[in-house]
This record gives sequence, C-alpha cells and structure tokens, in this order.
Amino acid sequence: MSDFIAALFNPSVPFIRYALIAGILASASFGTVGSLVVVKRISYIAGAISHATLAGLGATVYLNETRGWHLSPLVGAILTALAAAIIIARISQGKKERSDTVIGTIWAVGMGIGLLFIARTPGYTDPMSYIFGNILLLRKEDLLLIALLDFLVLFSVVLFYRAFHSIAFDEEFARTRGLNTGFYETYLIILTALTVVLMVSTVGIVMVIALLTIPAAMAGIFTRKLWQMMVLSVIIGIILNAAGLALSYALNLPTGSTTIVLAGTAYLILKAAARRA
Amino acid sequence: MPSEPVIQLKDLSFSYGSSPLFSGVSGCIHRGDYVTVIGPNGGGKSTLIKLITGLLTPTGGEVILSGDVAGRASSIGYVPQYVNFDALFPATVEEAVLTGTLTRGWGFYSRKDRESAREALRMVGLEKDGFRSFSEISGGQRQRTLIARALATRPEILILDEPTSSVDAEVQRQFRELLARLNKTLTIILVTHDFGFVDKDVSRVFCVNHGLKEHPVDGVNEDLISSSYGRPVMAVRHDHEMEHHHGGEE
Repeated sequence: MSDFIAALFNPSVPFIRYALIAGILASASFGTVGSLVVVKRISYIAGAISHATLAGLGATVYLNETRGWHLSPLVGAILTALAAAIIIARISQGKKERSDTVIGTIWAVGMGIGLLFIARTPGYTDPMSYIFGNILLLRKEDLLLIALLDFLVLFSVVLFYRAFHSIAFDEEFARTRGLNTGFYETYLIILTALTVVLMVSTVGIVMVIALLTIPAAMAGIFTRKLWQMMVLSVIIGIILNAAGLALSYALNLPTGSTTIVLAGTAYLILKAAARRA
Repeated sequence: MPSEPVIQLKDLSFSYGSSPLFSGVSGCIHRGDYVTVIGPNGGGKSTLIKLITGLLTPTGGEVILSGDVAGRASSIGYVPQYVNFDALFPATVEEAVLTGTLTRGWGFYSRKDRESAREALRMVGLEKDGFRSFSEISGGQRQRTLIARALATRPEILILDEPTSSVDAEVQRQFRELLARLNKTLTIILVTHDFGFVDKDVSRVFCVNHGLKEHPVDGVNEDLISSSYGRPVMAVRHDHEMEHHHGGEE
C-alpha cells in the first residue's frame, strides 16, 4: 500500500496519478448516470455504445498516424459515442425497426470499423489496449476533457433530475403530464454515451459497462430513493476505482480487469449478504 | 338536465397500421359522471383511454376535453395498471406522488408541489405512508399511491385503466368506496373487467368492442354483456360484503 501511495507522488510514473484522478472524476458521472441506466434497464444500450466507440478510437489513431493529426483518441470516441447514441435513441423510439437488432448491429459494426482502422494504421497498434483498457493510454490533457464531460453530465442530471426520475418510474404517465419524454430519453442516452467515454481508456470498451452498472446495483441494495442510490453509487465507484488501481499496482496486474473483477466480487458478496439478512 | 360536457368524442377513428380498431365513435361525458367502461380484450378500451389522455393520436375525428384538444389539456389524472411497475424501483410513496405535480422537466419540486402531494396522500388515506418505499407497500396501497399521484395533478377527470386487475376482494371494496367519495368532486372514468363496479354509484356504462355503446346501469346483466361482447360471458358472484357480479371474457 505504501508503495502505491509513493507511486502516486512519483513524477516518473504520472499515469498512476492520472488513472486515480480519472477514476475519481468519472465516478461522479458513472454513479449518477449508472443509477439511471440500472433503474431504466438500458444497460444493453450502454454496452452497444461503448463497443461502437472503437470505431472512433480506431479512426483517430489511423488519422493521427497517416495525416499527422494530434487528436486524442478520446475525441474520436466521443464523436462515435454521440452518433451511436442518437441513432439508438431514434430507433428505440420509433416503431418501424426492431430496436434490438439495430442496437446489436451498431455494437458489432462499430467494433468492426475500429479494428479495420487499427489494422490499416502504419506501425503496430495493439487493439487489446482499447478493448480491455490500458492506463498508459491516458494523457494529461485527457483529464481536462474528462473533467469537462463530467461537469456537463452532472449538471444535466441535477437540472433534469425530476424528468429523468419521472420517465424512469413511469414514462407513459410523464407523457400525459405533457413532458417531452422523447427528448429526455434521447438526452439520457447521450449522457450515457458521454459517461462511457470517460473511462474507456482505463478499463476498455468491453468492461466499461460493468463500471456503469455494478456500483449502481450495489447502491440499490441499500437505498430507497433514486438520489440516494446515485450518491452512494458515486462513493462506491470512487472506492472501487482507487482499490482496483492500488491492487493492480501491488499485484502487477492490468488495472481495468482488476477493478472490474473486484467490483463484481464485491457485488456478489453484498447481494448474498443482503439475501441472508 | 345534463351538466357541462368535459369530454367529447367526435367521429373518432383509430387504426393500428392498416387494421382499423374502430371508426365513427362519438360520445359525450359530462362533469360529475362516473363512467364504467367494459368490453372484451382487444375491443379497444385501453386505446380509447389513450386517445382521451393524448397518448395516442386518432386517425380520424377528435377528442375535445373541456374545450381543449386531447394532449394539450392537463385536466386529466391518469391511473395506469400498477402491475406494470418495476417492483425494485427506488422511490418512496411521496416521491411517486410528487411525479404527478410535474409540469416541466427541469428544476426542483417546490414546497407547493410537496403540499399537493401530501394533500393527495391524505385524500387516499396514505398520509402516514409517504416515507415508505413504493416497492414495499401492498398492492392496494400501491393502487392508492397511483390514484394520489393522479390527484396531485389537480385534475377534473380521473381515468383509471383496469386498476383492480390483481387485488383481492376486500381491497376492491375499499377501492369502490374511495372512487364513490372522489366522484363527489371529480368526473371518473373506470376501465374494468369487474362488473362489480357497475353498482349504485356508477352513473353510466359504456361497452367498447370495436365501437362504443352505452348501456343502462341497472340493465347490465349476463345476457346483455354477452351480446355486447359477441360471445357468452360467464358472470360469477363474489361472496364478500357487497354482492355483485364479476366476470370477464376469459
């Protein structure tokens, strides 16, 4: 543990510090949006968006190498996530398409496009870093981007809490009250997309969904109000991120996998304990 | 002398895709009416309610609510079937009722909103249960919570869509008493499969089966219902306090 704390202040390994700051910042969005994703049961949508971001990550890496651009891959991930979110929202609200088919297609095609871009990128780019995460991918300037997105997501959730709470509880009733539920549903999916991007570098596109849902599911065991679930979920997220990072450093293991396995184990233990109680 | 009309259906038509559900439906509901809507599954009861509440748009004709067109009016308090709710949703009874005060999506609930919610809870006898989790309360209490939520909208018309589909006979009895009490100040439209609701408190009975037909309240019996449904309907008699018929198309 003392080694981990020393590493946090060691200027030669700044990525440990960046990963901790990113984890703490992202926990705020993950806790609030994750709670909404869990109670609205739309984690499959978050899964599709997170996988589709590989298209943007791959395209940015490709353009940086072939065109001499210097964009953070996170920018590509944000743009793809937003595009996927808007398409999914429109399809989900329409009646003409089978939404699960379209969501599955976006999930797979996004990954396919990303892998093609990475395959065509000169030199060697390890796609596994993006798929399963790598804290070395995190740059200092990414922290500012994460902080800005975090602020936007939190501000939106606080401002529209009533609407999100209402449509999650009973969307049909909210419509009878004159609420533009289509707008709020779309906005929630966009916030989910932005949130997913926050941690895509650290835990990767595959496991980020677990970080969105597990802290919220754990918080849901102890709370009876949505806002309480959100607050507790943020706290649990911070603890899991810090503990996962410390454990991975101590055991020399990948941070993303360690954090997710830790979160999953904690959830299962809590769930079992709650059933016995 | 009938009182002022609060809902007018004018030559209403609705189709799901190319399949027409009904067409040319007209009717009028007056202030203070207590209307029971019966009819077989698939006959259009819930569709008619959704057209009145503005959740669906008619393919022809129009619904006029107290002079306004459905969807723009806020005079309706809507009570859906509670069986559709997520039992794990994190909300207290008071929070569930507060969503009834919603008029815009942003901002916070005001003190006035909270007073409206508490008043609505008092009206349904749940004033001491506001802090309880919605997922922990009984079926009857959930139903009352959803009525309180509709009352918190300060409606002129209360519309209930099969609210008693999964509660026991005693809860149904209490429910009928509550509706009779609320009818003193509100117009009530109740969609139900339970003919026990066609009792002394009801002022009108509509049967919706690919059209709308009004029946006299005291004339609702097994033969009339069977003829309206287009097939035999077996009525059964409950053995609880108020004897009444209970039936369904099943």
